[in-house]
Amino acid sequence: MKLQELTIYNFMPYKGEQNIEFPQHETQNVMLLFGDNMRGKTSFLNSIRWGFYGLAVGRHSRPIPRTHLVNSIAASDDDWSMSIMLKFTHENRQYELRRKIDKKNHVSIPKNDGDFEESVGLKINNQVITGDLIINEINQVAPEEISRFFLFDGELLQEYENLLLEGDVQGEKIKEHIEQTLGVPALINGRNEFTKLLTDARRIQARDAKNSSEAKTHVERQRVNENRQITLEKDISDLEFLQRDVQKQIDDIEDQLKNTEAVQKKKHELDILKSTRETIETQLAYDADEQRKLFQDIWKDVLFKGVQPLVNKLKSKRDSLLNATKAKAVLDSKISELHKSLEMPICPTCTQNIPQKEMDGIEKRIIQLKAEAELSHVNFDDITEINSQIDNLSKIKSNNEGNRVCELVAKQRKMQVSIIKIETDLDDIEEEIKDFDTDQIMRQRAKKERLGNQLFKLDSDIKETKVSLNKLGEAQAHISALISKSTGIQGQSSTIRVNLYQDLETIFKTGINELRDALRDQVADYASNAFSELTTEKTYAGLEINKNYGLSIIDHTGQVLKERSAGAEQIVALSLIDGLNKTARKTGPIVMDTPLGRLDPKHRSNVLKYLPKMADQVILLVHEGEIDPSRDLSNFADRIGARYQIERVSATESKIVRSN
Amino acid sequence: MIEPKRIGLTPLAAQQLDELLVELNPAPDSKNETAKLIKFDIYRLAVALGIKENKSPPALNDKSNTVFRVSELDPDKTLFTVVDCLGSCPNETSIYGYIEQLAEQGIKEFYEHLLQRGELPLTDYLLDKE
Repeated sequence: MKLQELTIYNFMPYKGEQNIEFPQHETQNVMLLFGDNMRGKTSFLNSIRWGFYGLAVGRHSRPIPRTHLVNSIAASDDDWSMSIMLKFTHENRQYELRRKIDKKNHVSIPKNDGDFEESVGLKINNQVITGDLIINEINQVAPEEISRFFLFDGELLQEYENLLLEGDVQGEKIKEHIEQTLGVPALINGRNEFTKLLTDARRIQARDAKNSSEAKTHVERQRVNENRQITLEKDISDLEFLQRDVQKQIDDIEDQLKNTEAVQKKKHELDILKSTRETIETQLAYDADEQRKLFQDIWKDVLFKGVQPLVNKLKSKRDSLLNATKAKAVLDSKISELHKSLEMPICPTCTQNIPQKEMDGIEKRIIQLKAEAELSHVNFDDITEINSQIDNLSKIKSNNEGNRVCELVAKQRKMQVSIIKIETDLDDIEEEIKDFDTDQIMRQRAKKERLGNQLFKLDSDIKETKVSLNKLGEAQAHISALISKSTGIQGQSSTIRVNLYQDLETIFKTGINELRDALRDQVADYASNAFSELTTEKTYAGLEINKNYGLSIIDHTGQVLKERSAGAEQIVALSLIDGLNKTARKTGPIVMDTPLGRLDPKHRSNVLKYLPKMADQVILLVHEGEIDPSRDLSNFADRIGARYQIERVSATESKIVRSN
Repeated sequence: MIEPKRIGLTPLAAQQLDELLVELNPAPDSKNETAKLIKFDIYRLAVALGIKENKSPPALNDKSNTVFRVSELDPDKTLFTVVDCLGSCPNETSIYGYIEQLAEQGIKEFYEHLLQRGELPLTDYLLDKE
């Protein structure tokens, strides 16, 4: 399929008629549509999607209501008509598809989708195709299920990462779409048809077996099982309904939270600052306590240095007194000796009498010594007093309390400065987020978490129920085989039919698995080739595919690369899409919205060189940050067939103009 | 000189001491702070700083608010001994009378500093300037 022309009328920001011609050249097959953010690139992508399928999608692939699809300025002028006309070719046939909505005659201002009337017209080679056949014809050319792989938003490429997560709901959905792209549903539908036929055939077989006493019990068991199967199928359907509902609630909360991301970030900052402030305040309180404990003995530390000389002085004084006491004792002893000589004047050595002259000398000496002893007299109370004073002063000890308090004061000052800074920051942040209900945001986050758990539980319940259903199916097949072998049932047409449908169902089941494996290998090969051209890291060995079509990068040692960047994820996703396109469809356009957003210049250059090879037509919806017209275009200038620009008319209106 | 058994402060300084105590102690609703100062702690520091700085305090100009037992304030007679040994007490004043004057002067200074700076300049009092 090749797009030729698109005519937009009153679609989203595009008021009035806009006409775009797509490049038809075989090598100059790239069309560039430049547009700033908010100007209408995604709306352009949606215009093609809506033209084909009557569906435009917003975030989380949610349908955009018709009231939002009609250009708001036109609507305010009471022009509620909106249309898309697509001209394209496919297998040498010329298609002209027109889709239009307008408000119903009796509606003054449309409020919901039901207030609009939709009309679709298709001409193939100028032959008008009637209503019911239109969808079939479109599905022949570009089935809606595979549209995500040729009409895609580059900013959502990261969702392909979910394919690497076992049991991820979004991953399962993408896997389903991938298999639809690859044609697996043909076999799945075949299997489902035979399962249905088999159930009907068994019912007939059971009716035929009513009269067989041997089969009667089996028939009854089969009937009970069938009822259980119906119940389980209903359970699965209910659970899946719930699962979708919960997922929708999560998506809604995510949308709301996305708008408040900056506020959440600020709230997080606020919480961290508050917690830091609390830690500092706790430390301040602890230090204040410590300071008071030191304060209790600080007076001793203040006196300590001054007291030391006093103690030394007292000790010295005490020593002098003690020395004087000793000296007096010596003098007293000498005086006592001399007194003895006076009392008995005989020389102890020669036993002769001591002459009077000598005795006079002794008397003089005694007087002299007594005078000296008198001078050395010490009052013992003085020594006791000094000792007591030394004891008292020795109780003044220092544990360096003063310096420790000074250190604490300095530390306290620093912490107080920190607190002032934190409080200023807190005031600033609180001012910034004052208009937001941050508690509500936090409640929403908590709710999202709860819903996430609920979703996980639902998912596991669905899986469990499916396992039970499968087991029941196997049990039914077994019972059916027993009935078939029962006397009187064997050879009956209902039994032959059951056996036939059972065999066919098995063939389809096996076929599905074999087809899946084969297609997966093919996708992996194509994707690996694309990856080797797109990546700037040439040592990578390639890509490895898992059973969900998730792709992992294999490094030069053959190991799976555990962590990969956002840019690498985008490259891998582009490789997967290329692999799917090449496996599923030989020809067709690719329309990419913002495909290069997360890539560095080298990867961007590789992608730009490779894109023209990905499809017969490549339509890139880009902003100048992704492709710099003055620098990047030289990489693939010879492949550009057409270039358009989205120009702003007003905040709610844009127009598309061709540029050189 | 007969030493008094009780000493104290003038009513003004006693009031200032109360306020200093409130300032230095944790707020009544504080959950994290447990250590509390008592009047003696500030009183003794005022005396110690007065001794260290060799101050000559004036006599109390008002009747002393004699609330402190000397035996509790200075159970080991440490302050008494220091003053006594230093000989800084005037002859006409008892040692505890001199200590009382030092406390009165010190507490008034503390209070003055608190009013001026919003906090006690502990670093100025305590930092070893040598």
